[in-house]
Amino acid sequence: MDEIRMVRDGYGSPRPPTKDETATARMQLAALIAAERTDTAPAPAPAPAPRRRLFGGWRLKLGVGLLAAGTAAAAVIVVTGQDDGPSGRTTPPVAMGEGDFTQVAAKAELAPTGKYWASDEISGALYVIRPKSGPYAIFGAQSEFHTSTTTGEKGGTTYNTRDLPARPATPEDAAAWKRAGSPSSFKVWSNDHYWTYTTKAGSWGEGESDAVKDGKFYGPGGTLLTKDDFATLPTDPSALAKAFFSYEGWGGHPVAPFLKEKFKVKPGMKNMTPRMKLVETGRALRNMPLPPKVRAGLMRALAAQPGIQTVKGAVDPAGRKGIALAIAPERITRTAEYGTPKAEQGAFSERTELVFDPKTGELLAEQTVLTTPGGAYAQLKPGAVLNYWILRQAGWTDTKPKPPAQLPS
Amino acid sequence: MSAPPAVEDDARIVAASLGEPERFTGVYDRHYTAVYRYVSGRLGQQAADDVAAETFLIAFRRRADFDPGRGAVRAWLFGIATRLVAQHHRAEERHYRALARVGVDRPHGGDEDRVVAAVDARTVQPRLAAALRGLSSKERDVVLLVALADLGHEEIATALGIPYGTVGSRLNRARGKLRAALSTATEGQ
Repeated sequence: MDEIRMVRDGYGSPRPPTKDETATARMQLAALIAAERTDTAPAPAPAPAPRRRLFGGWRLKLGVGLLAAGTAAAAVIVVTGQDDGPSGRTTPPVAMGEGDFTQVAAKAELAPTGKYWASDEISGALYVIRPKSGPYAIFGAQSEFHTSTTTGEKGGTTYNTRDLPARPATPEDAAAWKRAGSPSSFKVWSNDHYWTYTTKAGSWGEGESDAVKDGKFYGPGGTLLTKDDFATLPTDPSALAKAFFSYEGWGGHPVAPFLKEKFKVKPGMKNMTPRMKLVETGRALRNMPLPPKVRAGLMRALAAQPGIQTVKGAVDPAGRKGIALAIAPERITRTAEYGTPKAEQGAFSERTELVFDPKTGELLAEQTVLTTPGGAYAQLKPGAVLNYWILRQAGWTDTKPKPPAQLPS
Repeated sequence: MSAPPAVEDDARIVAASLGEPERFTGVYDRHYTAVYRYVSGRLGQQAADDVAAETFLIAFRRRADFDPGRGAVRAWLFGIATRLVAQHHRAEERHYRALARVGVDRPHGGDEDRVVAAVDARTVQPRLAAALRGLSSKERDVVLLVALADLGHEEIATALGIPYGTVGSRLNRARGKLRAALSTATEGQ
């Protein structure tokens, strides 16, 4: 038996990329090249830098991870379209006028600036544990990511990450967890296999630094921008919408005419869905050092997009309350197709949202919350957070940032 | 999926692209299709779109680190692609199903683009999928770089940054596991 041949035959012949896919990918590369050409910084030194690894830096991985995560979900999820509306125990999203959110956005203009950019984020997901003593939910797969960037000529970025303990999701869940004997490890179903999370915290690694970025930041469209470049972005919401929500402007950096011609760039070539706009805004607010007025403008721009609603009374997994910008709930059905156990099968609805602090206008979290319980989440209440990115901190500071020793509460 | 012949030229293009970044599109033109097909085999078409593109963006940003003494551009690119694929799976675990995201964004993908573990369920028989799932991720990387990308042992060593001998031992172990899993499945039918 030739196993390799069996594998190859089994996969068949993956089809080559379509012309469209090839052109889009090439355009992304061309835009990155164009961005470097217009950059005033010197070209990379011709002498090869010491070669440590092909790539490091989890931010990069993170970006891809988010992307990837989207596709991964496809493994177990059949999306059957938007929720038809409230039925049973659905939280009615409390609609607010756009005007109400505008006040929140205005607060973002007041954020301070400083020498260092630092962000500290926590990602995780909810899992339901079903012991005989009664089910409860935990937050597992929790990791904390710390990034700090020193801007300027001798600048650089360092990344660090640690695993956080799994924990019961709410006080009620904590009570049920105690009734189950306070176990310190949790076996959960994840996509297509079981996985175990524990209540043990990991420690911060040594950290990695990125030699490539020179104190620059990833901007829209894969560009590498300096702090000053970000200051040149418009503050007007409609101009920002053009830069961030279409591929027309490559994030405010117009496509060079020769590229336009070569790749036949047409305005609105790839229209973004409300979800893509929301995720793009979250990415920008979390990871880009946008000047306060640009942040505020981008928030206003998202709020004004069709398909985006304002939701009052949002709560993140850290218990922080805020106002959210959200897309319409979506109905998700999980089937037995990938070996999913019975208890994890069924349909429910969820909503993806960005939660803002109404007092400061800061982004608190990007999360998916349950709107209509069902399937694996039949016992949970609407509003339970299923997946999340929480920001512990993101912004400028004048003191050199360090990963926090303290575990998040 | 045959290897582009001009290996030396590849390295020269990368070197030239340090001063003239546009030259890097030459690397793209030569290798994009092969990288896309490899990624598409492992993750499905929907993910291939993004991951294959990202491979070249990363390669471009990291081109100053490319060391021709350590192997060919092709192996370097497949190494980057393989790491992205691995990241994909970690993300899968972390984010569980966060993500109706792409699924919702691209309703046309439907069944065609669904992904199970590393395997496109549409084209791979369930027992082969199960057998592949029984491999460690490191073993799977080696097997699929051979099966899908036609890389030789030396190229795989470069791509994954592991010793030459390790490639052979991983491949042997993986073959053994696949053989056991596949023959059991066949007998059971």
